[in-house]
Amino acid sequence: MSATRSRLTTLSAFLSVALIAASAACVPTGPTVDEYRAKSPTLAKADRERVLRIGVQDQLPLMSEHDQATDKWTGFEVQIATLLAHQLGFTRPESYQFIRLTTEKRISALQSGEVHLVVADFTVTDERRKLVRFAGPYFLTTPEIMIRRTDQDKIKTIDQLKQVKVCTTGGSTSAEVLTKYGVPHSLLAKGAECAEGVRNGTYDAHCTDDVAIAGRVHRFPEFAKVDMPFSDTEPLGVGLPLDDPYLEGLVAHYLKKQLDLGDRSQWQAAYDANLQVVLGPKQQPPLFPGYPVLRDHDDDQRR
Amino acid sequence: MTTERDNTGFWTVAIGAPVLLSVLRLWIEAGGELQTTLLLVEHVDPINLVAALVATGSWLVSAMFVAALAIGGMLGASGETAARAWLARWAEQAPSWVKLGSFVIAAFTWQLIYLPLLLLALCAAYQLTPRRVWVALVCLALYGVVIGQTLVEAFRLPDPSTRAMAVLLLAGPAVLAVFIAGPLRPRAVRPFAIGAPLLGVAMLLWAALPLVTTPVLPLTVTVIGGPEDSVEYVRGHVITTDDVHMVVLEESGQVRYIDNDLIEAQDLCPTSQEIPRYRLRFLFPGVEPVSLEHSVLSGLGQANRGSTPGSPACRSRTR
Repeated sequence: MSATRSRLTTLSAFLSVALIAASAACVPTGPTVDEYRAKSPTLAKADRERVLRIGVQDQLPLMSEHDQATDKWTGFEVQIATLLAHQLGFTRPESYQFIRLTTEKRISALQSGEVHLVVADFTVTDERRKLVRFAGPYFLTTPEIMIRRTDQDKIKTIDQLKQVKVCTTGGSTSAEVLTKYGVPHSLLAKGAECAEGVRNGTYDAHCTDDVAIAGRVHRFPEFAKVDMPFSDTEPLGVGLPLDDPYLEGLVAHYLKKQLDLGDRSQWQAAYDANLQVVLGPKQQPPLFPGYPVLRDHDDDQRR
Repeated sequence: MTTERDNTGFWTVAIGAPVLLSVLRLWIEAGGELQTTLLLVEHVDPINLVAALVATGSWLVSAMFVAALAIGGMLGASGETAARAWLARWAEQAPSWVKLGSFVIAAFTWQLIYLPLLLLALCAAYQLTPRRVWVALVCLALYGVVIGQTLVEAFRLPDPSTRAMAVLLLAGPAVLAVFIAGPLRPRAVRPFAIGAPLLGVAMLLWAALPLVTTPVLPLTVTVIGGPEDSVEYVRGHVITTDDVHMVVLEESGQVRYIDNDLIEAQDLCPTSQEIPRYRLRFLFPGVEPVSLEHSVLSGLGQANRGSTPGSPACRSRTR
């Protein structure tokens, strides 16, 4: 009995030594937020310039609008962009800037370095992924049609749409959808120009995503939305420079943190304050798979 | 005579190591620069330095004592030859208050994740063993109830190192603790008497390294106004403040005197060493979940005051 006991004790003693040695080896080695923040070339540039420049649209009701009189930016996308600027370390109002971008300029502005990131109703597509990076989605939309309220009986189907003058923005996914369904259309630089064209009769319909239409219909009662059977769901993502996987990982990390917070998130607060009134209750969509899992200071507090 | 010399040597290390660590920390903080070191020496109060060391390093000192007591206890129970080893003699002659104090300080200052190892060390040092099989089984079952939910949670998390850690550090020590008391096989005494202290020293040195490089002064980000409405975020350690300037030792090692009138905001920041290694928390019905990387003391502190999220300004790097 005592020999057996002694063997067990010896085995336990050496196993204990091995266990302590092994425990030192099993340390997680994943990248940290701090490492990605330090490695991002885009953020290094913004740090040197002491300002983070964010590309946004400026006449998209409830999404992003600029009030000339007060010089204030408002809207869902503005709040998401502000949240990201803060999380990336640009916490003071003087340390980040909103830059107006037309739909067509979103990619070239990122490529030229005019802006560091884009939060401007920017749909993620495979073609665009060849030119810029995306973190997201932070919102899901579908392409729809906006017409004059007085024309509600005239334009109800895609066939009827093909008979009228349709406008959309150049370089947009809405233009691709119209082409796919064989709808002739004109291309303008900004959605606001299309909306003005519909108002003054230059055009009969404006094709864009449902969230942009919902904002305009809410703001301007002369417009109405038509539910067309376009089946495509469009994910909106934060546009980022192609050469910066670190910024992509960071933005995805902060969007994931919002997702984890659920109803308590700033995303939800931004949605409820701006879009819920026109789109009803919604929750933040899940992120695309494949983003790196970054270790952060609040990891042991998050669930 | 030999015993007295061994005791003197042990106490020299026990008292000298923290002093050496304090000096090293100050030197490392200054980046080896003479003028910066002199500036730090001028402004860092020795009492604060010792207090900072106690707050961050008391677990290491208690770990040194606990390891010595556990190894000494094992050798002391393994026959006359083994009992003559210096660690066995020291463990035998150490005053009760040193033994008890080491375990109590360890219980309060070690991270929760290492407390099962403390249980194992306790059984080895005091040669505690269940006398009946059913007592051992009941003890293990009770332990299983305490850590069961946490273990299940570990296997739900995607990180494989968390699962390995849970098995190695939460489950393993409790099973080994049942069998650890008793004499070692005579052939195993010598390898254990040499190998275990060597590993102990290596582990303590490995653990002391981050302690030496932990900054003495708190890390802050100070926002100061720049030209043309711009702002600058200065990351660094505040050495001192007077009526005119705030003196900051930047992370780059540069000492900067900032005009007080330019300061717009200041935030306290965590260092990269404070990023939790595991997402696992201790879960038990009726108990607020607490990170396994908290000690009992810091867990109690957090339960009392709550944790505050770090300021996003800490991410900034502007120059």
